Amino acid sequence: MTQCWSEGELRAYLDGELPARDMDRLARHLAECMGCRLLCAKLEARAAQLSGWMEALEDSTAPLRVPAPPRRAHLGRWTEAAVGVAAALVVAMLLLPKRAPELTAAPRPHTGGFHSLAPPPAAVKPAIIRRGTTPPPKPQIQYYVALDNEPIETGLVVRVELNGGQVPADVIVGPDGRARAIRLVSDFSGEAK
Amino acid sequence: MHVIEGVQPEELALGAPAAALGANDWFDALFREHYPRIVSLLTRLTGNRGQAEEIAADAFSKLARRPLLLQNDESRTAWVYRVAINAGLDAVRSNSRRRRTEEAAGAEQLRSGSGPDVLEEMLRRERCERVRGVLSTMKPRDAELLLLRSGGMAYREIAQALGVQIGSVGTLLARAEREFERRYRSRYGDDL
Repeated sequence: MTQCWSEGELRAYLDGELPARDMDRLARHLAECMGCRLLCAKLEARAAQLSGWMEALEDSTAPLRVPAPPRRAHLGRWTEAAVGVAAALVVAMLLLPKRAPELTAAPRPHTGGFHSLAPPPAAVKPAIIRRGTTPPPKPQIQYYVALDNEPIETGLVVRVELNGGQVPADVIVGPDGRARAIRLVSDFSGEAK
Repeated sequence: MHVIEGVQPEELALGAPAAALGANDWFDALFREHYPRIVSLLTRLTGNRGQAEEIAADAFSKLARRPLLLQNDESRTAWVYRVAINAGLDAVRSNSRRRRTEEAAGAEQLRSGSGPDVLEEMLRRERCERVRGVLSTMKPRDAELLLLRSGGMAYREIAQALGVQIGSVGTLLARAEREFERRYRSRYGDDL
């Protein structure tokens, strides 16, 4: 007599889920093994009973219309927060007056929670460490032009090119994706574009 | 750019998300293939299509928020099924009290009617309640397996949804069926 089959294999056999070769071999084994036949009959009866019970749960509602997939988040919540803070720092540094290009150590600027685009008090010194020996020319402060009346608390600075690439500009994009402020950078001193 | 050396605004704004943008395809494919199945499974489990859609959408939203945690389609599929079925079982448990009230009201309405259809409907509701009650006490994977199989899924699809080898589905199914029968009979005896 051939070797007996496991309960799981017998259950798969009842569902016709064994490979074709195993289906034939198991069928031949059942013909010669009373124990496996009894176990198989027991599994079959239980499966039929379960099927009857589960039939009560049939979904009789109308076919489902598949909606559009939910919007994927490209960044995690903390990553987004980190990017937001980084963007705020970038904007803050852009707006601070550049008084001493050769400065190598200075008090940290106030960076928390700026509420307007006006330059900070003159007493606050930027903590920007510059590389190179020749101090760059002092840039003119370029103010952003707000595109609406709402205060800008955080956002990303995106460099864009206007007029077919002739005029570079910085745009502050808010967390909702709207452009909140813009400034042209084409007339920056030392700004090769 | 001399205003801020070493930090390019374009990099800050676009660099990090760009890596994730190319990975949208797997999510859409997963959603389109499995969302209807999960909703159907949850509808049978909870008896409420609206609630089922809400749970399924929530499971996919959770998956969308952690695209980097799960590295391949197999683990993502198993994960979203597991999250959905766990939430569905929780819903069944929390629904049970409210459902009993509604069932009692419905039964009263049915009693006021007459005919074999009314009796059949009462019995069907009772069977649903019992089956859901037993499923809600089982291990989530066993309950999920029974729902998937009774929904007509092939072993290959069940293996994918459970994140197991196809060769072990028969064994797991036999065990789950035995466990369901044991729990059902211990609650309701041989009253089928």
